[in-house]
Order: sequence, then C-alpha cells, then structure tokens
Amino acid sequence: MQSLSYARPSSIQEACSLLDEFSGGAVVLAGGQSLLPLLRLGAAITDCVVDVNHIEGGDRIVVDEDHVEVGFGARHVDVATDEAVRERCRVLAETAGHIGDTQVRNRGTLCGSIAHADPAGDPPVLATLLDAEIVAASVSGETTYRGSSFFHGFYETELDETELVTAVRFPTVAPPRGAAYEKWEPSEGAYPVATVGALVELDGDLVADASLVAGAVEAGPTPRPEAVELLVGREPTEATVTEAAVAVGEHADPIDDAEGTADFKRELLKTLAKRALLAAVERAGGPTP
Amino acid sequence: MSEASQVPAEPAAKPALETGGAVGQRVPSKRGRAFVTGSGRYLDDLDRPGTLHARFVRSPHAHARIVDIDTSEAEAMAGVELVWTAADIAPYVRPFSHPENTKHLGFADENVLAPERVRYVGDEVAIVLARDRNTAVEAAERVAVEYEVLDAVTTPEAALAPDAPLLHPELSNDPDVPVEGNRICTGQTLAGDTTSALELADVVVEGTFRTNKTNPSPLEPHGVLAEWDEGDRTLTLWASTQVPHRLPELLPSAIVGLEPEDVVCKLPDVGGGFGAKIGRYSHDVAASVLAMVTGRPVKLVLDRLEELRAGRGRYDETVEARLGLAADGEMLAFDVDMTQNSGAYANYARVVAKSSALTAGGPYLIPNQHIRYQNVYTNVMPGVAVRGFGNPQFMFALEQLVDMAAEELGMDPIELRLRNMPTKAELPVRTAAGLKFRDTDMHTCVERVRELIDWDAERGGRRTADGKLRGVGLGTVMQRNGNKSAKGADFAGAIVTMDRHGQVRVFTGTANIGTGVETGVVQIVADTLGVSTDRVDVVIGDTDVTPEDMGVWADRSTIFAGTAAGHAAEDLKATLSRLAAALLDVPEDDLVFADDRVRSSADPDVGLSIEELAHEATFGDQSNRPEDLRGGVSLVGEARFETQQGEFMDEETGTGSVSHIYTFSVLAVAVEVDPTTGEVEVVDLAVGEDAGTVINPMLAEGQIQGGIVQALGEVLLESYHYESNGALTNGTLVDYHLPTAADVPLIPSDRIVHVETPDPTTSNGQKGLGECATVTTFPAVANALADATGIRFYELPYTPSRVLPRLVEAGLREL
Amino acid sequence: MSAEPRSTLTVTITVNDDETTETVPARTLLSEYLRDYRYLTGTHRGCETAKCGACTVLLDGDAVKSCNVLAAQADGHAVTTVEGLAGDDLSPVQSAFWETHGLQCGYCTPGMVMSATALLRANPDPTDDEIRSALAGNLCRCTGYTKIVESVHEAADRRREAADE
Repeated sequence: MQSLSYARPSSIQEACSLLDEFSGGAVVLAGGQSLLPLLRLGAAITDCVVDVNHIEGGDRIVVDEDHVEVGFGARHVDVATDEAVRERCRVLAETAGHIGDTQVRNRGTLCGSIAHADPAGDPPVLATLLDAEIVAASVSGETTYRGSSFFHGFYETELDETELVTAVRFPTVAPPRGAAYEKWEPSEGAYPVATVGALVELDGDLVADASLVAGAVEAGPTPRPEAVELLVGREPTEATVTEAAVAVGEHADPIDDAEGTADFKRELLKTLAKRALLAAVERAGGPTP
Repeated sequence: MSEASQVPAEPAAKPALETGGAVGQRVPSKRGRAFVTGSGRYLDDLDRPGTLHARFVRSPHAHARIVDIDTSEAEAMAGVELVWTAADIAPYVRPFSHPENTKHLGFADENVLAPERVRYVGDEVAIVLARDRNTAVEAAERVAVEYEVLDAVTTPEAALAPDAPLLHPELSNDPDVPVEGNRICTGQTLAGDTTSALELADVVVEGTFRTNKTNPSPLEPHGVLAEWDEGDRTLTLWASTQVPHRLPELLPSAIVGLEPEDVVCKLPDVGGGFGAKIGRYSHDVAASVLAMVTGRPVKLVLDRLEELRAGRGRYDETVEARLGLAADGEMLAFDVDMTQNSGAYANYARVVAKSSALTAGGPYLIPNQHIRYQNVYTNVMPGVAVRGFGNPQFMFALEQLVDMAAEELGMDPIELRLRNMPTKAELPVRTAAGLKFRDTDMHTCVERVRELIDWDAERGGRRTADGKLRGVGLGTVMQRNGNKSAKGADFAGAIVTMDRHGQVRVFTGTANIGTGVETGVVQIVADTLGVSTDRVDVVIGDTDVTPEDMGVWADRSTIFAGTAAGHAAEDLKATLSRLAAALLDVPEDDLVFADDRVRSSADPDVGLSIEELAHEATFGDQSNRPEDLRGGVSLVGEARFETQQGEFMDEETGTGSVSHIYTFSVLAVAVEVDPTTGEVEVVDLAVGEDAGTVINPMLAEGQIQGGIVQALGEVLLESYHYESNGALTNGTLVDYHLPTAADVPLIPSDRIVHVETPDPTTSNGQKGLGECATVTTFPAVANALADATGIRFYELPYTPSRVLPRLVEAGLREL
Repeated sequence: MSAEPRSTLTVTITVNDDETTETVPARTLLSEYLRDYRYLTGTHRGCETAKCGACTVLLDGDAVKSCNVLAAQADGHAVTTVEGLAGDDLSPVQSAFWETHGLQCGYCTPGMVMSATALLRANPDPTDDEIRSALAGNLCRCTGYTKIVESVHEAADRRREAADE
C-alpha cells in the first residue's frame, strides 16, 4: 500500500475544506471497497484520504411517499435490508443486495459507488434510470445534480475534485410505474459484464413512458432512447418487449475484451433487457405477456 | 516399590472402532484444530530474528532486451539492504532447469535474474532486499529498467512461423541441443503402426481440440524463508512446497558451492499446491543466495499479482487427434499431434508432455498408438505440472473422439467404452504403450455411474421445464500413480517410534498441501498397532529428521508414504509382539493388537495396555524379556517402500509402465445450458473411482469434490488473456475468475462411488487418488455439452462468450 | 482527533475483547495491523485485490475483508478474529468445520469460519443457497465448497443444540 495521509473530519464542512485544500490531491474514504484496491494497485495515487465515516448522520436512510434518501455513510447492506426501501423502491434494495459479495456490501456505500462511477458499477445505472438527485457539498455550498446527466464515463462525473456527495435521492416507484435491474457477471461477486435497468410507466394497457439504461458495456450508464421509442404508446406484449430488448443490444457499442466479444455483449444486453422489461412491466401492474 | 517401576493404571477402555482399526474411518484432519483456531503456521507467519524481506523487480514487457538497470534510487532508500541485478548475483548462481531438460536435452534455460533479456511479463530482472515488505515493494518500484522492446509471440503458431522472433537464440543456434527455432523439442509415444491401422479402420473420427491456459491458484502464494548458518555451513529453507526432500537436491545445481548435504528443508503448513509448488523456482534460489551472502534470514513471499503473472500454471495445448475403430467398436488406432504452448522457459514442458503421452490412450486397449508432441517457446508465463499432469488435455480430446465414434457407429458411448476397457477378470494386461493395468475394476465403476446419473434416460439431450438444454456426458482416465522413470526411483521411507507412555510418533518425508496424507499415515499406523489415532502424532517433511520421500505429486503419497509408514509400524509391532509374548506367556501368533491393548486372542483378559507394554519396555525387569531384548528394547520401527512395479520409460518409443499402479476413474455429469445467455451449468454428477482401499473416505471425498470444482473453474470460468504483444490483460482475481461457492454445484458424497479393488502390494491395499476427478471433468463436461446442444465444442473454456455465439449459429439461441 | 491530515496516527482497537492503543502508519491495512501489531496471524493474505476473503474478520460484528479496511477506520471499534472465537471449547462453527472436513489446506479456513459465524448469527438456519451466497466472498481452492456448506449446516445444528441446553 502506498504511503498516504489520513484525515478524519467530524463535519461536512471540515471534509469539504480538506478536499478544497488538496484540490485534487485528496480522495474521499467512505466504504473504501473501490478506493482501497485502487490505492493498493497504484491505479490511484493520493496525498490524503478523507475519512467521512465519523461525520454524524451520514448513515441515514429516509423514506417518504416520494423519495428514498440515502446518506453518504449508508452501506449497501443497509439499503438492501431496509424494509421501507424494499417497499417503496424495490429495485434499489434488490440492486444493493447484489453488489459484490457479503463483505463488500457490509462496507461499501451507495453514495460512494455513485461518486466513484465505475463503468461496471450498478448504482450509477439506477441513478441514471431513475434520474436520482445527487446532492454534493463543497466549500462553495451545495449543488444538486441529476442522475441522467451526472455520469460522463470512465469514472468522470459532474463532480469536481473538491465536491463530496452527501446524499442521493431516488424517487419511489409504485404502480403504474415499475422498475427492474438485471445484470450478468462471469462469477458470483465479479464486476458485471453487462447490465440493464428498465423503468416502465403504464397508462391502462399501454406504455406511457419508459427508460432503458445499459451499463458495464460502455464507458458509463448508457440510456437507450431508440429502444424506448419502440415501447411508448404500445402494449407491452412479449413481441414488443422483445423488439425493444433487441434494440438495446443492437444499438450498443461494446468492445472486445477478456470477458467477451462485442457481439457477445450485445447478445447479453438483449437477454438482460428483455428480463428487466418483463419484470418492470409486471411491477408496474401490467398484464404478464 | 519405587516410583520408577510402578506400573501406571490402565486407562478407561476406549470404544472399539467399527472395523477394528482406523483405516477406513472418517477421521478428521490432524491439522484441523490448528486451522479452525487460526494457529496454522504458513510461511508468511514465520519469522526469524533479523529477517530481511526480498522482492523481485519484474519485467512489464513480454520480450525485451535489458539495456540498463539503474538501482541507485532504490538503493538510497532507508531500510534497503541491497538491490541486485544479474551481474551482482552471477558469481553465486548457475542457470537451471528441470533435470529432464538438463539431463536429457542438454540445456538449462533459466536464470534467477535475467542477464540479458526478458521473455515474459513477470520475468525476474532484479531483486531488492529490505528490512520490511512495504519498503521492499516500494524500492522495487523505484528500480529503473531501460528496455529495448522486441517482438513477442504468444502462440505456438506464431512462435513456429519462419520469421518469428527467437526467445533463446543461443539455444536455437546450438547444434548440441534439440532446440530448433522456438521449438524446444519433440517426442513421442509409439506403439504399433497407426498409419496402416487407420487405413484399415471402418470408422475414423478426428478433431482438433484446444485447451486453455489456467492457474491453479493455491490460496497461499509461493514463499520461502532461507537462513544460512555460517557455523555448521547449513542452509535451512522453510518453503511452501510439495517436495521438501527434493529441494536440497534441486537447489545446488543452481547455487555455486552448495551441496545437497548443506541444505535442510523444513515445512510450514502449506496452503495448497496443486502442482505449482513442485519445483525449484527463482525465489527459492534468490532467497537462498541472499541468505548465504548477507548472513541474515531472507523471506520472499509472492503476492497474488506475481502468482498470476509468474506463479506458473497449466499448459494450454492443441491436440489434433484421430481415432480409428472397427465396425464392431474395437479401437484400432489413436494418432495424435500435440502442440504445447510451453511459455518462456522449458521447466516442466517436456516432462508433462512425455508423461501424459504415455497414458494418452486412457483406460482403453488400443493396439496402435502414436502420440507425437512438440513443446514450443512463447512469450507467456511458463507452465508447470498442474494437477492432472497433462492428462486433462489428452482426455479432453480422446473422450470426445470416443463419443463421436459412438455416434457414427450407432453405439451407446458407454457400451463403446466398456468394449475397449479390460474387465477385472482379464487383468493383468500390458497395454500397447507398455502400461501394466492390474488390480482394478473399471467396468463396475462405469456401471455404477451409469445407474447413478440415470444415463439411459438422460442421454440424448432434452429441454427442461424452464427452457434449458440438458444433456449428459462422460469422461474417464487411467491416472499415473507415481512415476519411477521421472525421478530414477519411486520410494518413501518412514520411521515409527513409541515413547515410554505408549505414544507413537511417525516420521515421514511427505508433505501436506491439504490432501490430508499425514492424517492417512496416522490412520495406517494406528490401524497397524491397534491404537487410537489420538495416540499417534506425525512429523512431516523436515529433511533433518524424516526419511526421504520423493514428494507430493502423481497421487503417490498414500501409496508410498502410507505403505512405508505401515511397514515401519509393522517393524515396531514385531518388537512389541516379542516383548508382549514373553510378558504374557502367549505365542506371538495368538496376540491381538486392538483398542490400545495387546491381548491374547484366546482370552481377552490376558493382556496389557499399550502404556503398560511401553512402560515395561522402558523400566521392566530385563529378565522377563527374551534374551535379545535384554540390554535395551528399541521402540523404533523403520521401513522404506520402493515400487517393484514401476519401470523406466523407453526413451525412443516413449513406452513403459512407469507408475506403480494406475487409478481408474470415471465421471458423468449432467449439464443445463441456458439458451438466453450461453451459460453452462453442471447440475448433476456421478463419480466412480477405484482407488483401492480408501484409507479415509471423508478426506477422499474432499479431494474428489475439490478436484472436480477446480476443473470446473478451468472449463467454465477461467482463461488467461494475453494481447498479441504478450501483455496479460486479466492478471488479478478481479478479472481472472476463480469459482466461488455460488458458481459450482454441490457434490454430495452419495454421488461418489468407491469401488475398492485392493492393491496387494501396498500396506492396506490403497492406491492413489487426487487428480482423477480433475482430469475426467474436462471431457465429461465437453461430452455433456455436446449431448445437450448437439454442438461439439472443441475449444476451452466453455464461457458464455464462447457458447452463446455457437448457439446463435445453430439457431438455438433464445431471447 | 482533529481533522488534520497525518501520516501516522494512534489507533485504539479492541481485538477479541482486548483493547490496545498503537501508533501506526496511516497506510496500514487492518489485516497488516492484526498480523504485524497484534501478532494474530490467523488472518491470511491471499490476494491483492480484496477478492479472496482469506482476510475476513468481524468488524463490529460484520464480516469484512480486513485487507480492504484501513486500521485507522477500525479505531474505536471492535474486531473479532478467528483467534477470538473459542472459549473453553471450540465454537460450534469451529468444531463443525473441523469434524465435517470443511477444510483441507486450512488457508481459507479462518476467513470462511468468520463469514460462517456472522451468517449464523444473522440467519441461524440458512438454506444451501443462502450459505453459498453468503460465502461467495470467500474463495476456497481445495474443498470444492460442498463440505463447507455441510459444515455450516452442522454448525447450525450444534448452535441450536447448545441453545437448547
């Protein structure tokens, strides 16, 4: 492990001051599950880790009619097992419950995962899919970003190096809306090779609106409006859903790598998109095609 | 009565063991308590006063000339003792290689530090010695090496092309060694005339099969702690190794001024080996030299990144094979061209090819066999003798050809196999390749497996209720147990002692890498002496105090270490018998050793506890003893067991029965293929194995379950990915996918059948066990996949990325 | 502690009910702290990327990979390692793993035992699938996992029996 300095702010303000002071030379340590392996490999270099685990209130999970708010210290396991989250935003609880493995979920934080923006990360796809509000603090004050525009790809986000994500607010999802997330990983707990998030809103028997976001295959969460077009205004039959799923795959632009060819990843996306859409439709209260 | 002669009271009677002895019992591991309490002592847990930590600087390039190495920045760091390159270490070392290469091929192609060029990503270039590991790691990063990058080749095809860059040009240009271009050597196993036989065959099936490069990844990395004693000029080497008695033989060839008698090897607990800890590596040589030069203990432990880059793994091979049969299913000819991707240094390349070519015909009696192989240098990590020792690759090919032949002949694949395997009644038989098949019941193993997997109902492929494609397939192996030809002899020694309290200690040169052989040895000794296994302790591997054993490989340990221990226990028992007979006034033949007692078979009340007997041997009235036991009763038994069955291989034809015996094993699996993703899942299994008397069924099951799962990882999840320039793209556990508990099927013990045909030459009828299940998994999954999909997959691994495209092609892909 | 960055810091960590205070470099991983400062070598190092789980310990009762936590983060917290499980006797998980042969070379065993212990505390009667999922962060190269799953079931039985007594 590389030499580093460690700072333990006891407030958001102190944390932001440190980030500002180091302007790019400091990194936030929340769960550390993504950060520490990078530091150990030398893939990330830092002058200072800013440990935010001692700031009061970070681990809050607040659920009301409209939102699930996850504080910067809330662990994946907390989000996954929170009854209110499971009820009001089921896809969030499910996704959190399948990130990595038990040990990773016991430490990793949802906010940290979103700020880190790993191309293969699960929470960024959800944040994009549900257009979550991403609240960030810095010495200049607070900014709220939207998930749909937050991710630039390859670990880059709207955040600059002096900002700290303090909370993420997901909208609740209830009929006539339904959401689901499917992923494929080469072995249990490995980073997924392809993921798809689906959100469907029904109006009677027809799809009023939808969102499809592919992940892990390209630089970051990639919305697929071409596929959505094939759904909106139509009945979500098996044939329609399949057509949209195929479009998710066809429009993707993956690369060949150790995990598989671009073609293979496109095929995976089709399969995952169909599964996610069928589940989303069912949760939206739709008839099972 | 003085205290010294007081006879201790008999302890409370221990419950009688079921079969009267410890052999065959499910005795828990002797090291188990240490492991579950965290008191195991692995290499990295050891420390000696003044230990320095060594760390290699490794090449980031697959093929490059070393232009310059600047160690100044590293040397200037606080806590750094020295930084050496090949020039610094040269006076102390010699090039080295596996004895097969130095002796039979005439060259040694490895250097502990690369003197002039590097040949694969991970090749050792320099070494840092520092006061602690973190400092060593940081210093290693500050060694500045200037390279002139050369073209690299990563496949045998590229390496054998006419204009390919040469990895070892000095060898390629040396007329006295067989190296030609990048071809290290060729070899063969030849019996009969396959060309003519194939022409006469009614059916010929052929295929080109490709296996993948994998890493057995023992969870504990390689490590060594070397200490030089200037006083008695002894090098003590603690090593995470499978071959403690081999290291003192192997090290001196690489180290100037060191002789085998100068080296003592001691064993810590070893966290897995799987064939990767079987040799002598650069780290063994480097740590030893640095300890000798500095006078300080030197510890060198690899990390996982180094393991994946340079820890060595299974050779990937291309097997072009043809099988010729008569119309009635008789196998007539097996003709093979095997090309091995050997990696940057020869190491085990030839040994693995040579050994496995010999048994490439499997359990079948094929009169004409010609296995031709070539080993090829490439700029990838060298291979080593991973579990299976070359057999998985050959059986992956042969067993698929057998299924293909069955289809052409319209025969059931099991019937076709049985037709060509000798029955127990037909044994012993010498195969065309010279193998002596004896004391085994292949047919019963196959029949039991056929029943268990419900072969007749399952075979033919079907669709499951949830839409998966399901099929069954089979794989067999005749696995070499030991190899006399490889080392010049095959044997083990053992000493068994008893102290004044009747406590027994076994000294055996074997190692424990997780197989539990030391527990089996304890059981054999306890069984022989009629005592509880709690009464028996075992000292393993320490070359200072244990008799020589060739090491843990080729499933030889229970045979050799076990039999030596059993015979040594018999030797001790003979002394105890003579004493007991005299004390009890019972003929020796009427004595029974059981339940920690020795008694008269006629009258159980006439007897002594083992403690009493031992006490008598120590303190008893000498006039009560037979004459030759007055003046001292030596409670020491000793024995060496050497194979009389193993033979030397004929170097010309590559034939001969090199092994003490061969273990037959058959595995059937049922797979389900998901047509929406291409995922292949093994959903049922049945194992039939004839490993003779099973010393410990619980440990045996563990080895079989573990062997299968390790192979499932190789077949379904793992593969090395090198770019064309030799860069390793998946060199961490994040992207080299080892199976987790959630990725593999559970293998209940009732799916494992042991058909126990005893080997009459071993102490308890035991044969070897441990590699078979790994080998058979490769062809079993291949054949099951073909049965399920109707598509034959000639290339490993069977990841969805490779399966799904073929399903798409065949119109089987579903959405 | 003030918010000032520091390259060494003093940490007070309770390990197996034993609280001590040490000054360590900030870069020190919890796994290194346990092995090098508390001489508890049962926690093993198997990979560099927090994948293998051989370093698993309980941090405030939660199974974590100690190589993926800084010692600094455990300051003021309680850690249980494999050495802290046995009382006068082995814990049910320990004895079950030993007697059911849920181990071979033993290198994954401490981490596996810690994960199993945490699992059974949260879920005293898990199914096969729940066990396999819960232990997916602990690699074993020797056993093939079957006897590990059986050991966890056996441990669950023994815990129940002990509770009934």
